[in-house]
Amino acid sequence: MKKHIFIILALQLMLLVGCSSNDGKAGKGTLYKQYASQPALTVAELSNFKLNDSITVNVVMVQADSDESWQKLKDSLDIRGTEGSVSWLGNIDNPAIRTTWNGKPVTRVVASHPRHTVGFYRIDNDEQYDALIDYQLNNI
Amino acid sequence: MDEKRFEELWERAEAESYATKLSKEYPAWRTRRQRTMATAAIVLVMAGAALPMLSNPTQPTYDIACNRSGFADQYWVDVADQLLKEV
Repeated sequence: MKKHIFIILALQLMLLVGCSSNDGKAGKGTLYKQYASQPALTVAELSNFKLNDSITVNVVMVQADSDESWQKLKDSLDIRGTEGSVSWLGNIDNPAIRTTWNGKPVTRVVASHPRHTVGFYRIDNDEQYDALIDYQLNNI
Repeated sequence: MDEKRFEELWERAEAESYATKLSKEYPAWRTRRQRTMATAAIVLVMAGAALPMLSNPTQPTYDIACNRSGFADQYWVDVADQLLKEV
């Protein structure tokens, strides 16, 4: 009887470890928290978005639920125009501030007017920076 | 009751009485068999639950948080992918 209980407990433990290993960092980032608390915005944080076989980045996506919230989001990020997509490298603490790559963490911001969506791709190192560019070039 | 039905019932009665006899004479065997079957059932259920995690090990696993319900994880993976392709 003890043997059977031990087997069941061992299997349950294995299952538990398998499930809990999926607990990541999504939903804990500053950017996610900042937008998730705002009304009329749907926010998702995706950990480990795969750029190639070995490089991943964390992405926060903010989707405006209405024209009004989209306009407000655009204003907060200083996004102009009404068509297509725009992209820039943003300051890690304030993505509205445009910056250049100097090896320090930045955010690649991609705003899509038709989708009413902004994606924030966090870049921490040269490998991620290069992989993101390759990902875009390879998918044109 | 026709003959066929009687035969069926007779066979069932014989089988049941034999099982009753066995369970009386060898109670330990019966409980052990039940335990084994219960363990096998639990193992099968747990293996079935774990199967999706093992079925496609090459599929990347994403950790996604969303402030709204009703969105499939794949939706956000696709959006993250398409935003980069559209710019």
